[in-house]
Amino acid sequence: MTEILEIFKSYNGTGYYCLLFLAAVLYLWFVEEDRHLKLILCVVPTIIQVLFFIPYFYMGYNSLDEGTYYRILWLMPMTLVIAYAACKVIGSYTKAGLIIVSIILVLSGTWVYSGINASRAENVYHIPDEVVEVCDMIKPAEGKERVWASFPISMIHYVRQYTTTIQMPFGRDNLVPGWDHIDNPLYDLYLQDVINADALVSEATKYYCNYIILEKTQTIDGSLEALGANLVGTTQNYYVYRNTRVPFWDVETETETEN
Amino acid sequence: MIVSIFLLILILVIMPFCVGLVPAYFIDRRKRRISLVYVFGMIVSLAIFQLIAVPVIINKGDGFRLIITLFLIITGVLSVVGIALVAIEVRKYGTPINRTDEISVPKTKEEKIYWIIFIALVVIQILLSCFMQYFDGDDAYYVVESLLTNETDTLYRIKPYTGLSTGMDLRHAMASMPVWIAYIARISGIHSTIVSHIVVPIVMLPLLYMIYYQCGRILFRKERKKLPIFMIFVWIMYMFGNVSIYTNATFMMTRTWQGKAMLANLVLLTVIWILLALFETERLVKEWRLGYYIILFFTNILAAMCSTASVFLVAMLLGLSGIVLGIAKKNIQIPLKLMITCTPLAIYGAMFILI
Repeated sequence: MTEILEIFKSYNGTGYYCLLFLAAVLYLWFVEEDRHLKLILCVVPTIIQVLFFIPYFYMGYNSLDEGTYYRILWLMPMTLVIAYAACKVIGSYTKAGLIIVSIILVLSGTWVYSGINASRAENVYHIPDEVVEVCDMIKPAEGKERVWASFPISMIHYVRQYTTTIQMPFGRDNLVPGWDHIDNPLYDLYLQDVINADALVSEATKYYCNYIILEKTQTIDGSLEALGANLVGTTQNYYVYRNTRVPFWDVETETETEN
Repeated sequence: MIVSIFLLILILVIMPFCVGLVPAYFIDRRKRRISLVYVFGMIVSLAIFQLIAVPVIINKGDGFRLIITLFLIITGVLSVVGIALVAIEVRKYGTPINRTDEISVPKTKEEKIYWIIFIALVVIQILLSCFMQYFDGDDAYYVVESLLTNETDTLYRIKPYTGLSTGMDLRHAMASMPVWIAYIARISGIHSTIVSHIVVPIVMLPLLYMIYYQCGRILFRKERKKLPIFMIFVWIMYMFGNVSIYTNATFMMTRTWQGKAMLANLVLLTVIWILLALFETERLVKEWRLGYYIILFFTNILAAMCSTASVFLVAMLLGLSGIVLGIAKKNIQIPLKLMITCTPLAIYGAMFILI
């Protein structure tokens, strides 16, 4: 039951739409004259709400799809019911009602573009400009074989949204504990405060990385250049190294064919 | 660029509208409206895409072109059928619609002002969705899957996170929304990520409001001037619905292109709308219910396209509503008919459990 309450609290978060919804359903129970509307907008959501708090129901749902129990709350048409009830409440005072209800709704919610995850789009792809910049430096020319590159954690969500011609030794699945993934020593290195240059180049070579991308703030113990990783580009926050220990796949194939 | 925009209009506006004329033929002429036909068309088109895509994804790893070809042929034929049906009605009645609906009387000045405010707000919302970005970790899967499909012609055989080859991820593969986005990208020649982050919201946000509008027309059939006010309230709750990362409004506004967002908003709302419409129809002309049942059937296929796991949600909503309505109206036919429309959900649900 505690878990269900936690899910309910998390769903309702910082706003008061849940309270408004409860008030709206209660209001419609008493004033809605249309029996069909009452059944669909009051009775069914109330039953769903009751079911949501039943532990056996929670256990049953979890056996089908774990971790998404909050989606049961999607079945209650909160927006529709609140908006409908509000329109009924304001009666014929439409102008004043519109203003007052709008203020209540705005104050009860949270602006969709607030929070750290929202920002002004930097480009048409809606990914950071620096990702585009780095990818443009290293992506293969048209018709050439794909390249491999290791990226810092801050970039791995975005790289392949821009181009799938760049492949990565580890991806988002490594970031989420509990997800099915193979442990990757190269990823572990990126997590360290001080990255050993020798280990980094060795692991990158083991994973056939043609490029190594590092954040400028990351501290490197040793010289990457001395180990065959040459700096080929920089952006505001990143260094781009070409790992010369790993030839490009098509160059290697061409050399083998010539031999 | 102009060609791309024209192609987008063709495949996302004109063709779905023409497809929508077919199911619209089976509903009361007084209820037919441009927005309703378009909503019908989008639902049917997306459901057809799902019906084509899943078998191809399972059987032919490089079958993206086959999906596009089959989809264009079928929707093309349906579009022609839709136009032909309209032509028949025009010949028969002189017009495909009947403007005697009680809500179609001229609007008052106040009402017009509210509608202008609402339309302006929606335009602002669409512009914001284009000029604002929102980080969502799941994009690393869904958006990349669309891009991979478009760039490699392969279907769920490459791991989006890294690019390594992998066995088919059937659980995700059964929900073909990313492949539909890849289809839009392929036809229009626009990068899949741009389609996901910009084109899809431009289409889906108006579609969402069109469905709310259909609901509103039923709820406010006697108080029409409140309909734009209702729509403004809905808009506010979407723009200020980010009270947590889990709400349907947050999903709609921050990850419109993901199937989950479409399920939480478009699909579940459509189910509610059809439940409302079926009983409104009951009051009017009973024989016109068939069109709504057809759309409900296709909505259930669309649910599977959005998220395989979530077919249980739609089935639960319909099952529960059917039982409640059946008991209240002492009519066993209501839950039975609703259950029949759930057949696609049962099939996808069984596949999901067996997998």
